[in-house]
Amino acid sequence: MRIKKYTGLLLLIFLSYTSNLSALESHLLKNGLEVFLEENHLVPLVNIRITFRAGAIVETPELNGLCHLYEHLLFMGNSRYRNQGQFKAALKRMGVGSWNGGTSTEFVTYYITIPSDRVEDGLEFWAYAVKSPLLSEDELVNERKVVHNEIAGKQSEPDYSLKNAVRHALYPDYWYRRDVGGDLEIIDTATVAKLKFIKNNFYVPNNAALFVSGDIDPDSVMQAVEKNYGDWERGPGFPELPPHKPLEKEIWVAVDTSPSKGLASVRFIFRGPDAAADTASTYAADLWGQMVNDPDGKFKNNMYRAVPELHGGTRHISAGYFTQRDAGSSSFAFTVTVPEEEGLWEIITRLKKALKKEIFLMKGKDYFTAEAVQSAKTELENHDILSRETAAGFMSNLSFWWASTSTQYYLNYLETVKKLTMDDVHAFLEKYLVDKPFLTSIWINEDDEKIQGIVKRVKEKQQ
Amino acid sequence: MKERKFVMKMAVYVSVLILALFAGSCSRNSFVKENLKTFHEFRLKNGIPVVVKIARHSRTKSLVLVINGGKALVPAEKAGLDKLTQQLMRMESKKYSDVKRRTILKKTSSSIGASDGLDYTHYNLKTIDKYFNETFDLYADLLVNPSFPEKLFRETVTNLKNRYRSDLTDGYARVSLALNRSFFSGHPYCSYLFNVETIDNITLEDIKAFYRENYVASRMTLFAAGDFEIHSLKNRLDDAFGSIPQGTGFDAVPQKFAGSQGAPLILDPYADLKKETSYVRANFEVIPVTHKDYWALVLASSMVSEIMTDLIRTKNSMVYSVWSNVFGKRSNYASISAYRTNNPEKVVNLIKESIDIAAAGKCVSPYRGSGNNDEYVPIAEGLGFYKTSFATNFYTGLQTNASIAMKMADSYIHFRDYTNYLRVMSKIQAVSAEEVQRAVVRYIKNSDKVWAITAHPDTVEQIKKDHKAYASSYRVINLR
Repeated sequence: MRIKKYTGLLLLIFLSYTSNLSALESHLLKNGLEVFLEENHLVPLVNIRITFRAGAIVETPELNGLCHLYEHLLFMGNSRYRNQGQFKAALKRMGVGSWNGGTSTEFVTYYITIPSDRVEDGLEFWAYAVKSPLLSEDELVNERKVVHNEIAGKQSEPDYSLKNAVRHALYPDYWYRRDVGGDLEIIDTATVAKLKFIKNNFYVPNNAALFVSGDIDPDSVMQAVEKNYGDWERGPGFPELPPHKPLEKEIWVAVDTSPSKGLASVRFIFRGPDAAADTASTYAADLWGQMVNDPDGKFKNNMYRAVPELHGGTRHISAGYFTQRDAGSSSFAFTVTVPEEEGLWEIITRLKKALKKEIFLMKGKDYFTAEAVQSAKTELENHDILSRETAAGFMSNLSFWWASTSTQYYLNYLETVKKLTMDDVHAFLEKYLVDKPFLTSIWINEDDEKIQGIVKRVKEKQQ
Repeated sequence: MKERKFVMKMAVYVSVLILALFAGSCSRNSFVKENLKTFHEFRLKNGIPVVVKIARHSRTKSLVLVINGGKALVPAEKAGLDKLTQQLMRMESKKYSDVKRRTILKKTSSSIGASDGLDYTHYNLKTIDKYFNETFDLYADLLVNPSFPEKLFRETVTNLKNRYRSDLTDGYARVSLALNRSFFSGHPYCSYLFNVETIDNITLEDIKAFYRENYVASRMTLFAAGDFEIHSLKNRLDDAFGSIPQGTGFDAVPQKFAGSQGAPLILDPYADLKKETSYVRANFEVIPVTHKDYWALVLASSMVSEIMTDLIRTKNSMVYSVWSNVFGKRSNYASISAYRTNNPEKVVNLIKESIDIAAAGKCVSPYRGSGNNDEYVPIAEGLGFYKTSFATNFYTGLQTNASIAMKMADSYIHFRDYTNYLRVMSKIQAVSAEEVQRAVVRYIKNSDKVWAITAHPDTVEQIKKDHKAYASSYRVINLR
């Protein structure tokens, strides 16, 4: 079989339910490019996605925001399609429906959806884009303006100052590894040399994965992949990163830009676990996240009892863990009704105290019942069923997990979750939440702030 | 020599296109035939029509209940009434407390949603096969026996007011609001534009009365997509919905929009924006979805979008995104939007220039970089590619049971034929280049457009000085 030639790893998972055979294959090219194929013949379309482990996570202060700018530059021409006009014309000739790219904290991704008879053209198209972008000075100068507009717009949004303050407080040494949009001045002065540095280091096959899904013949797709991507040269790939330090003390952030009058958003954010450093705890954190969000569970009911000023009872309480390679966080979010007279500070203090007590209680044997554990596991299985409804949606999901964890992480996810016990959840709680310092963020309306003086008190507290 | 090469290439492209269209036409016919076999229709004992599409490609099951009427049912001074009603209705019922509802939805990973559209409200269930019985019972009880508690009413009102305040901090939401207030003026769609004042006008009694009058059998149609057993589904639906009172039927009637009313440019100064970031939008009335030229207009709109992107973004780097959209509403209208631009005045002029290019019978060349680098080509030479792109998007929208049920609902509302969406590709394929060009001229270029710009006050001052270059008059509004 020719396919064996390409394959370092071959895994087939057949899902028996659907009438359109749904199967996931995983391959590894010699140059390190991972390839995922998902066959689904429901509609005559193919989605091709290519994802890099890049984004803010690989940036330095001098490069902050440039992975996003590079994402734009990839559409601006390459050795085959010399400029933006030619690039877009090629998309049109393939009959592309949707196409786009996106930059996040831990990945950069590009995708197109095309008629299934154009899959080889689509693979060739992306190969030129990722292997030989022109990165011309003229296109750079033009695109800097577009990205400037985009980021300036984001910086005008009312929650920007809150997000920025939280970023700097939680990750004081490497805050820029969490800032996708970056610095307007760095964007305005970006050079071709800087973009080439990004290309040569991070836009390499051993730091990338290709996802092809839909109405495909896997064998012929793999032949086209080898033909178009087999000669792509390896590069340094994902860098060694110094880890973010754990929080050493409790910190506070307060901003008065919220448009919501009479309501304040209060979040408590704990650091960890980071998927790269402590993979095992991330599964338990997910399970915990499902249980703690039970609308009628102990956590929400106890919190509401302790703080009746919570807006909407238990409705707007949420908690959970966000999986990230090196900046995972577990957080609790509440919406508090702002009293007409001064008094919000006292409510927040009570909320904080109640939360600490509740986290301590979570270690108890009966806090989460066996039924709750089983229900949470079933919910995680359900999410998997839903994520597989469309081949492209499934691959988008897989792409996220590939970037922030690993292929095996995702493929073994449900089996690992099934084996978890309450001891695993308790270990996660002990390691990351119980008696650990955390960040308190408060987002309040300007008019409410005039009466409550929260921002001022937080500033005093931080000093 | 170069020219001959190009002609050869063109010939190859066109041949491939013709073959593809032929093959596409055959497969489209079988696509329609195969799909038609999967529909089942029946009526409940109180007359509610039900359409079921058997779809076994996924484990999800979806229901979409359409309630006819839309914004025409809501007095402008109580804008938000339909939104509050649907939000409150699906929070708590006689049998299910709010907490119990949320618990079931979480444990089954299901969702019950609703949307108050311009022409109709829809109320939806999306669930996984194994949970259908449990979640359907919840979905049905919320619809038939909502409890509308006072406490949840107050909370929902607070949330909706804050959503409005939040919209006022978003540049694109502001430009849409500024524009729609003028464009929808005097039209039933005006009730779409709620604000703090209109929400304060709504009482819990208003909501209960609105529910009693409008959530009635004669205004409802139910669409289902998934792996259903028809007989048991019918029994279940009859038990749950068969006793909903008849009420009085109602259908939104298309009405004319007021147009620019002498002020084709609305200016919205917003001090919290950075000076280099503005938002531009235009609205204009267009032909209804049932009009013979409708699909030509849709293709025309997509060609104008690409010319604008080429001219404004690619060549002038003046905007993050720019697009044209035909909404497909009963009183139909279209819009052109420029999202985050550093030069709103020039963008308006470039949009007009883009429309002129399409009106002259040209589209962005799909042949750039393949032997001929002409920027624009006659529409006839590019049309096939636009049709293929349309097909790609069309099939993309047929992959989930939820989206299939919504397409059936939308087809039914506009054409009284829930299978109409299956024939969209045939209608697109029948459109000629001449029809597209005519649609650009008649329905886009010659339309009475109302423009709006949201920008920093300094930028607005500049626009006031310069407006005569692109708008006969302007009006500054103060959004609150």
